[in-house]
Amino acid sequence: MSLKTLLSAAVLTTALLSAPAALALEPAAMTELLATIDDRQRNGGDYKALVYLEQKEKDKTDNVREAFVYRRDADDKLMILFSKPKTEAGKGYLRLDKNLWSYDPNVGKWERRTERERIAGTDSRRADFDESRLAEEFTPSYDGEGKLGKYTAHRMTLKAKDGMDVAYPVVKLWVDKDSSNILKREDYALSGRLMRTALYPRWKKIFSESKKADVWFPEEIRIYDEVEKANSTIILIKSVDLRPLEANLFTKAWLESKSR
Amino acid sequence: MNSGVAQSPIVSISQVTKDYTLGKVVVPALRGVDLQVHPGEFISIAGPSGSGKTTLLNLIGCVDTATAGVVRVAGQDTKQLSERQLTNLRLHTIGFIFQSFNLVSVLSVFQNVEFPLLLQRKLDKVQRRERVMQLLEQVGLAHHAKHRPNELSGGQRQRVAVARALVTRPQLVLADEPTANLDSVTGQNIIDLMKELNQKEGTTFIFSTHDAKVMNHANAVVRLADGKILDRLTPAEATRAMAAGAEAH
Amino acid sequence: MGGHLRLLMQVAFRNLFTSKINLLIGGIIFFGTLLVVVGGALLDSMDDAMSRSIIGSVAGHLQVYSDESKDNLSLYGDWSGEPDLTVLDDFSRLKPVLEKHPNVKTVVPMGTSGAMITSGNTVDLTLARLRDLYKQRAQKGESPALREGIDSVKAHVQQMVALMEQQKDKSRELLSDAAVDPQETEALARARSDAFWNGFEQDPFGSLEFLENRIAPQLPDGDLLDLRYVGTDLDAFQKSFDRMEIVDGQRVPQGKRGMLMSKFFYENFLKLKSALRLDNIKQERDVNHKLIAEDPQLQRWVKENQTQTREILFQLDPIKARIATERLQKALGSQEASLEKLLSAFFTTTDENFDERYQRFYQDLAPLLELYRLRMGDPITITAFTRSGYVQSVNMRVYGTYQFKGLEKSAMAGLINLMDLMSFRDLYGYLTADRKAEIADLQKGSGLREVSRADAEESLFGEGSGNTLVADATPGLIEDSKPFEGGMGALRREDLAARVYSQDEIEKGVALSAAVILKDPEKLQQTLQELKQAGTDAGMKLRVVSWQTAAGFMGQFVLLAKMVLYFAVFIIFVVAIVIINNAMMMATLQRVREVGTMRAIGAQRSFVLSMVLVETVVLGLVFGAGGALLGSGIMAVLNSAGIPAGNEALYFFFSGPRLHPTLSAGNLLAAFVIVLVVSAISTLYPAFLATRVSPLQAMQTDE
Repeated sequence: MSLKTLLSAAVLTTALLSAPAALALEPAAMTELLATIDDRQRNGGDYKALVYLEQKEKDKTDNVREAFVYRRDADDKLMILFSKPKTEAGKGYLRLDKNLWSYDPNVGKWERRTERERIAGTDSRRADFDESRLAEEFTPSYDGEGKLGKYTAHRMTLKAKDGMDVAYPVVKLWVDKDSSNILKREDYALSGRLMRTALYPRWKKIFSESKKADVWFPEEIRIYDEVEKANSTIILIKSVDLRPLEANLFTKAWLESKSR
Repeated sequence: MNSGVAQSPIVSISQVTKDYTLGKVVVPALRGVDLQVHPGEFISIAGPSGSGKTTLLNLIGCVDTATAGVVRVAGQDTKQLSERQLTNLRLHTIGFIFQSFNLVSVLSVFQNVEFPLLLQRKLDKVQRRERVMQLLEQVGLAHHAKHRPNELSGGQRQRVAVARALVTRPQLVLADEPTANLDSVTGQNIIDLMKELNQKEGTTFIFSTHDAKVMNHANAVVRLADGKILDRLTPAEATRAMAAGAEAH
Repeated sequence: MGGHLRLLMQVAFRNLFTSKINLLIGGIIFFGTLLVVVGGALLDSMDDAMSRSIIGSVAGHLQVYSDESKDNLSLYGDWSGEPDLTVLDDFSRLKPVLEKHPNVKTVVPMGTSGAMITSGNTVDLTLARLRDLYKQRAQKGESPALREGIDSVKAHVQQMVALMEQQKDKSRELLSDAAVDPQETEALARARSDAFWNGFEQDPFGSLEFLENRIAPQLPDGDLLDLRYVGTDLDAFQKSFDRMEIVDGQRVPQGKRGMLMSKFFYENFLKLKSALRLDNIKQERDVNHKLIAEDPQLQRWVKENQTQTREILFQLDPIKARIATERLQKALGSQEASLEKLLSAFFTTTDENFDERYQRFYQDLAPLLELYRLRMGDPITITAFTRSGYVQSVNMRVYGTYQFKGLEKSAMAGLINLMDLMSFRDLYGYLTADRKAEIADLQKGSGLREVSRADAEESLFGEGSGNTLVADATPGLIEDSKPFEGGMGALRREDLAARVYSQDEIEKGVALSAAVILKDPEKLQQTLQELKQAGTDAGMKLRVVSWQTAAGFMGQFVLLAKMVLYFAVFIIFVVAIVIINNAMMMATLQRVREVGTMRAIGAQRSFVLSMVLVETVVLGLVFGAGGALLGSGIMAVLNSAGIPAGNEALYFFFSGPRLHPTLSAGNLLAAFVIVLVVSAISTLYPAFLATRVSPLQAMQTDE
């Protein structure tokens, strides 16, 4: 792990040094940039966040939730456990290996879900809450530089690697040239149709004892549904807690116990 | 019967012309005809085919109108009458006997004769029956009252037609070649019948024929040729004149 | 006067049978009347049967719902999904308002909605069962019965894993080694090892998670089923809708939560696919007289049965698998050891052996199998997107299946499942004031600012946005145990299933619509208006619609069928008018001399006109009466014998297996009026022509 961290740091340095000089990024440099983005968000140990989720839909009252997001990045484990409002408390998602399970305490049942699952019926997907795995899942190509408001961004097109189960096979990214943070992300279907647009206006970093480095997270993600144009989702990460989690937290039994 | 000249004529025709238009060609059928027929007369109109006999009869019968001139029937100028009034004039004043009998095939002998009475709407059922049977008696077909026309011979049919023509007691009966479709004996009978009715009832008869034997029964023969009246003769004169005409040919 | 008409009649009657043209016209009128009488009566009978089916199933005579609704009520659903209706806040307030009307018999609360039900794949389901058993053991300790259950399911799982490995080997042969994920192979090998099963009991939940997460995903996903349901007061429903009958199981006990599944849905979506295909083949062969040898659809089913045997293979535990193998070997006279091959051979059905195989399947194999994915009395989990956007799941027991008499085979009616109103309300998720307040609080607490979508990028990233892209987070501790204290979970689930609700509880609450059954259906329109008024008087904005409107497409379908048939009749009569018109023209031309003679003798034009008209009317009456008489005879025979519904489409139109059509005086009257009008119209022009015949025509000789 520490080797990986070291390597990433080196990559980061290289990326930061070379970025202003080069107009077009070499494939290797792009992969490195993705690796940087991934690595900054990864924590060596456990991760817990309090998340606010708001969904707007046409002709409907907004529906909002609060949830705890638990991650153990070393084991690729994720749990989303809803806490508010009361009717939602105890519902959750559990990712184990490549399985995404959903649980509802009202019926006491586990159901297998896919990568395309709309988390709690919103426009968010599992990947929006999970550890960033862009370098592992996608092959990038460079589209040039572009302005996004007051920021200058690298524009890249990412294509899913063979055999990777991702929600969207094609992704376009706007990455801030100065800070290497994602500003905007567009998700496309295989047909080339734009499905979602996500904006990341604020990134935060917090020092991790286990990683001995900062862990970055997008404080706010605004997701716009490009199919049902009136629908949108906001994910707000209210706080992050990097203390170790219970050992057996990422099990069905643990989630079930929350509503017993 | 005596034809009193003092009596007003039932038919009065003066300077009548009639043209037919066949495509673009105007064919004159009558060219200035004057004729007066008095009640009780039994007149034969004679002449070769195309001489205008039928046209003249149609004008008198109010089924056709003259191109020029005046046709008066029972004192009325036919030109002044509407189609409805003309029909009424035919119904009440004139009886028709046709060359091909023209009976309504789906009606019985009785019904055929009764037909004009029904149209007239003057008599009730009993009266109608009495009148029809009387007429059928007169033409000798009382026993055939219930038969259909197609069950009768030609002569019998024409006698039905005579009965039909006379059932309304018309002042005038028109007959266009009434014997043309009959053999000579039967034709003779029909003429006898008409003559008999003429004498008994005083009905005026005008009939067209080119049969000299038939002409003999008339009071007078009006000879027509090329749409003009040649002369008005007695039957004997007419026979002679026609024989001479035939020799001349 | 009288003589005049008598003469006309006489001429007409005499002409009737003498003229060939008249016979032709008469024939047309005869068959036309026959058609109108028979067709009209059949149509009315079908309409009547369909109406009764729809009224007697869910619609009732009238449906009442909120006038503030955006869409129109559509009980059988629409192409665009469920209609958007505004709820009736409190059914118990509406009910007395409607019941006050003297013509209202009963009022039944209702709501239609839909949900998806998912079932994991077969392995998932079996593992879930095993997990439940271990949970029971953890709570109550082990009993011999529990042990036996656990062992049996474990053996079944082992059997499944073995089958999966066989299939994996096969696909390796078919494809290539590269196409096989080595991690999957490794996991399968572990699940096949004795070591794994020997160590199972030490950590049952850990072992289960391994099977759930590494083995089960190797099978394709289970299916998603679209489930439409009507939530209602089940007791009132059963009393009010005479067409409903229970087929399997029992009715939902009074006041309890539960579901009655539509028999059609149960058969078509929950039955073992191989068995369903056998049933379908049998039906097509028996009812529609199709042959496997000729029909591609039947051949496809046979093919699917031959190849898709996994559903059966996975169901059988080792003991049952052995029995099945023995029975199939005997039936086929084969020594083949592989059950898969035996099944494939068994399902190779032809027109010759089908009936025997069908019988043998139900006699030999079916007792070893779960023919349906759900047994009567089993719970089902329904997950719905509520109106508020939250996902809501409810467990409920399926007590039985039901069907609507006359609509047994209708796919539209067959997709309606019935559930209790309490569960419906849970799934519908009406937002109470409390919940609204809770949501508003949460939203306020987020501190998010409203950003319009159009200029989101500018306001978030623009020069004027004041946005700081990167900042340090304040480290904080997240307390995550409080929100879940006092959770209800399992206890609540059991409580809900056992609870008996009072009539008051059922009626006090949300409904989407109310079905109204009338005492006198003849006064439907009047009652409709009066109920609307009654609603307004009581301060409720109500929309009241007839069953035909409420049934949506289904109601319109009846109307449409009627219109199509009436249109056909209309076309036939247009053709008839043209033919009669032409024939009458010919007839008139033939009679020019006769008409001319009459005119010469003194008949007025009006006489000629009435002669022709009377003749046609007489013709129409005589032949029309004949046609009507024959039609009545036919209907009498059909009424007593009934017309069998030869195929499924007819089954719907007939609302049952046999239609016993009845003839009403209205049908006869309609036929007469139509015939008279048609004959009069078609004679007008010929009659006009006849009046133009000149008396001169009488003078012409025909020789």
